[in-house]
Amino acid sequence: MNFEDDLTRAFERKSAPNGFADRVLSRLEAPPRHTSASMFRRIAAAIVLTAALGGLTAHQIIEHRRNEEGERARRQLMTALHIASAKMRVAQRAVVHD
Amino acid sequence: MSAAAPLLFPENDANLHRAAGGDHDAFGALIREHQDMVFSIAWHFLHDRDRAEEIAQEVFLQLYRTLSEIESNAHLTFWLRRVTANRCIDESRRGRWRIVTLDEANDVARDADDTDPLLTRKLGQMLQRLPAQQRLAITMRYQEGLDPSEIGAVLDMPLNTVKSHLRRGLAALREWLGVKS
Repeated sequence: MNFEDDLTRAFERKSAPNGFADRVLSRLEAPPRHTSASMFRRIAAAIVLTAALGGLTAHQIIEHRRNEEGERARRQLMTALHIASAKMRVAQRAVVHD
Repeated sequence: MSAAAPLLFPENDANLHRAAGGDHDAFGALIREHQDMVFSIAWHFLHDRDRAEEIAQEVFLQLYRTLSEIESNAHLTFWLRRVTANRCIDESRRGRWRIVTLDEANDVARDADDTDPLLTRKLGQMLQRLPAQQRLAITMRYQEGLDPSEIGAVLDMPLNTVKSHLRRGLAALREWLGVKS
């Protein structure tokens, strides 16, 4: 047996399956196939994006509430100052009349 | 084909030029010209017809996206061999290819003799036991008839590494098949 010849025969080119070229050409027009790996990457990316958007929204809500509380406290302080100021004016007038 | 094309490109290169310009018929001709080579490299590597076709299809789809970078038909052949080899390596790393067990391989070796008409099939099966790089080097040597330096260029591997892969791979095949050196 000539081993080199056997190898050459064993490695003769095989014919591609019938219709191979047509199947490739039809895939040029078709949307790309998604492998399980690419699907996993897409799902993972969607989860990360959702988590990031959710975090951002929560942060904005908390920030908004803080601003509202601050504004309410400012208004209360201004009201207190107005009342104190009015009381001071009444007291001042009473002192002047006396 | 335009009248001027044959003056600028050999016939095959003209097909390449037209395919790069978006001519699907020309691309179809390129596929038909090279499909046996690409399919056979994948088939000898995987010994699985369906997955060999899947890899071959992916190679040609990748070629379609890269056509503008291919300079000649010789470059195209080189590119197809290299990309097919890389995809075969990727496939083997995924670990989805069928592993021939030692028992199966021993059965094949026991059945082999000098006059066995199925020896070529058995050699192909034995090949599946070799490491991926040895398998590709032997496929390029005996399917494509490349010499070690050409194999090194296709597989992006130093010449001495190619020679080592060929030597070890062939020694293993001889041993498994009980062939004397």
